[in-house]
Amino acid sequence: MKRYALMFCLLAAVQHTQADDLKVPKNALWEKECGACHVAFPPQLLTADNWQAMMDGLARHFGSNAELEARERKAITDFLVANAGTLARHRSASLRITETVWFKREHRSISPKEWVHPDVKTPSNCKACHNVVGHTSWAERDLRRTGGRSEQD
Amino acid sequence: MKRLTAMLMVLGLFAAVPAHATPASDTLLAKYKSEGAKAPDAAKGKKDWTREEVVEGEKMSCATCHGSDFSKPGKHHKTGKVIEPMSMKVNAERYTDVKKIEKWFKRNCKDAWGRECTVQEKADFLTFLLAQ
Ligand code: HEC
Ligand code: HEC
Repeated sequence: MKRYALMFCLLAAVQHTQADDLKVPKNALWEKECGACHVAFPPQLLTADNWQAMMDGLARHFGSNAELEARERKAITDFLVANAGTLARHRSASLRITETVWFKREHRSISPKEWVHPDVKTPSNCKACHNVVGHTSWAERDLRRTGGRSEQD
Repeated sequence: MKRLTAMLMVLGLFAAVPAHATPASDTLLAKYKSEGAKAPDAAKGKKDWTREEVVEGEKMSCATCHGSDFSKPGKHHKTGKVIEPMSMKVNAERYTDVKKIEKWFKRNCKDAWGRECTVQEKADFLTFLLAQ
């Protein structure tokens, strides 16, 4: 019960913040291939160089094999590069969105405890907190929080 | 029109293949055979399913992500993403797309065993999985 009340407050608070909606362009091939093992991460969240480097190394993709055939790889690379972020805050030496300045700033209110909550496991598990229906909605109003946070504050 | 009826009848025949097969699995098993696989051994496939290798410091097998109850969903060991059940009894999409099966054999053998699977291993796995 306490949890629901807290969640409600949070939702209400979230409704009032300025929504900086992240609009994600439609692309069926990208959604299917890059959404197979995790949510399809929005192209705006890394720079064109970062996407290029990632797409050149899919055989060793964060400890997983995500190889594509040449034609699909080219089509997805073109899509990512065309929609990539241009600002420095989206650049990531590690190619992780979760290590960009942008990500850290958007998520500065989240406690270390929440990042390692069993339902979250890894910051890249966006879906644990964001209700990303069809990978196209990232607005704050669609947030869903895990126990870790609501229990704590 | 007559042609269409005939075609539909032929399709009907294909749809009537025995329970433990799909047109895609038939195609693949024939391909593996032509590439040197002997008669598929479902028991070997079952054993291989839980065979562990250490890959990048982590003990891995097929069951790490898929589990061993084929009617239940699995979970990606790194991302936590839900993986739909492997049994075609509960998941009709399974084993219906040749390219998809080959793509995931390639990726997942490398992830779980650090190498591609042989055609024999793939024939064994596929035959085992089709029966689940
Ligand atoms: C075979 C599974 C698989 C496929 C397919 C796949 N990925 Fe990944 N991806 C992973 C894993 C595993 C991680 C690491 C998750 C972790 O440790 O947080 C990851 C991480 C990422 C990250 C970094 C997330 C972060 O921490 O900020 C990005 C970006 C990414 N993937 C993009 C892509 C793109 C683009 C594609 C399509 C070309 C793709 N992925 C396809 C498995 C996959
Ligand atoms: C542990 C939960 C959690 C995880 C995991 C998480 N987020 Fe968030 N995210 C939040 C919260 C909470 C906010 C709102 C923060 C605030 O306003 O202080 C937020 C804000 C955002 C925003 C801003 C939304 C807006 O309308 O302003 C975006 C975009 C976003 N996250 C994307 C992502 C992406 C992409 C991932 C995965 C790579 C991710 N998040 C992972 C909890 C999470």
